Amino acid sequence: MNCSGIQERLVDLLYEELDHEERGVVTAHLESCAACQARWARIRVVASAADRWSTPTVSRGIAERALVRVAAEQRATRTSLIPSPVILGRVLLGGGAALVSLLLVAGFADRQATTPRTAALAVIWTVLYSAVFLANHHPSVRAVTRAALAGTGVALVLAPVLAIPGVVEACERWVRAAQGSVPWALVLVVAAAGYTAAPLLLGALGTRTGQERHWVVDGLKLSGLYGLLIAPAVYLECIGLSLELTAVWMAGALLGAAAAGPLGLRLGGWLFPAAREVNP
Amino acid sequence: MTRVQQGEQSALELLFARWEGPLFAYFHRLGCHPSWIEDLVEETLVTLYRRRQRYDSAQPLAPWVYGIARLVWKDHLRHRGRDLYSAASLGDIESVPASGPDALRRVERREDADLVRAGIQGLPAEQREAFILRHYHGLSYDDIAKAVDAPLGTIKWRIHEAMRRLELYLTQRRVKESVE
Repeated sequence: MNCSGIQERLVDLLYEELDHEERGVVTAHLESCAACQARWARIRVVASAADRWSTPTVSRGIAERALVRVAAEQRATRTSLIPSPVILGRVLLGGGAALVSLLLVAGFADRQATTPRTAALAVIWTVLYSAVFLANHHPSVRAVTRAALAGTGVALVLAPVLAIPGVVEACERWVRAAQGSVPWALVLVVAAAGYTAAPLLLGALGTRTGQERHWVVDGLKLSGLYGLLIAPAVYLECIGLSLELTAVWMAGALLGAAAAGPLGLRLGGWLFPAAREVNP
Repeated sequence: MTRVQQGEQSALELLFARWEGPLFAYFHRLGCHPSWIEDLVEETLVTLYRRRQRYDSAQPLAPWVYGIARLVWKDHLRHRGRDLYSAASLGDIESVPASGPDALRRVERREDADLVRAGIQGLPAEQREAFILRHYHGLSYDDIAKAVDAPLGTIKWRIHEAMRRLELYLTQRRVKESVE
C-alpha cells in the first residue's frame, strides 16, 4: 500500500474502523514513513484539540419536564380508552335491544338454537344494534337508521304472532289445496318477500321518512341496514326448517327487503311531502 | 429500552436521565441556538417515549436515539423555515467564526481547542453532524449511517473530509499567527 492509500486510512485508524489486518499494515507503514507520520501527527493534534471542547452543564430539569409530559400523555391515553357516556349508553341500549329481540324470537326457534349459538347471536345483535344506535347520532343517516329500527321493531313484535315456520306451513297447505297448480317455490318466495317487506314499509311510513330524489340509492341503504338487523331473527326462526326451504325463504326475504326500502322512501315522499327526508 | 417498551416507569426515568446529557451536548455541538437546546432535548425525550414501540431491541440504541434527535431538530428548523443543512452557516449560531477583521482576530487569539471548535462549527452541516457523532458520541460509521439515513460510504467521506478541513483550518491559523 502506498502513502496515499495509507493516508486515506489514517482517520479510520484514529476511529478504530480498520480491521485487524489493515491496522497492522497502516501501523507498520507509519513506523517507517516520515510523510505519513507527519499527517498522522496532524490528525492527532486535531483530535486532541477537539477532545478539549467541553459542553455546558446540562440544564437541570429537562428529563423531569419530559417525564411530566409523558405522564400527562399517559393519563390522556387512559382517559381516551374509557368510552364516553354517550357511546357507553348506546352500547348498553344495543345490548338491551338485542336481549329483547332474543326474547321475542327465541321462543319460536327450534330447540336446535343451542345456548352457545344464542349467545353468539346475542353478541352479534348487540354489535349491530350498538352500531346503528351510534350511527343514529349522525344527522345524515338518522332518518334511515330510525326507519330501519322501526321496521325491525315491527318485524320482531310480529314474530311471536306470525312465526316463519307457521307461514311456511300455511303456504304448504295452500299449495296442496291448489293441487300443485302453483309452483311451491314461487309461493314461498312471494310469502317471504311480503313477510319481510311489510314491517319495513310500516317502519318507514310510521317514522314519516320520505325521499323524492335518490330514493333508490337511499332506499337500498335502508334495505341493507334493515336486512342486517333482522338477519339474526330470520336465522333463529329458520333453524327448524330444511336447508332447501331456508334457502328459498332467504331468497324471498332478500328480495322483499331490497324492494321495501326504496318503495318505502318513495311512498313516504308522496304521502308526507313535508316529512323528514333522508338527506335533508 | 425493552423495559420501557413493557411500560416500566423506572426504566423510562433511567432512559431519560441517561440520554439528556448526550442529547444536550449533541444539540449544543451541532450549533443549535442555546435558547432552543432545552426544548429540543425535551422534545426528543418525549418523542423517544412516543416511538418506543418502533425500536427494534436487536439494534443498537444510540443510532435510533440520534436519528430521532435529528428528526426533532429538522422539524424544529422546518417550523422556522430553515433547512437542516442550510442551518450550517447561520449567523446566530453560537461561536461560528464570523467574517470581518475583528472576528478573524478573535478567532486567531484562541488556542488550538478553540480553533478546532470554531472549525467544527464552520464545517458544512452534514460533515459536522457526522464528525460530531463519531468523535464526541462514539458512533461507528455504520451507526451514523443508520442515524442519518445515508450510505456508509457517504458517511466515511464526510468524516474524512471534515478531518481534512479541520487540519487545513488549524494549519492556516497557526501560520497566520506565526507570520503576525
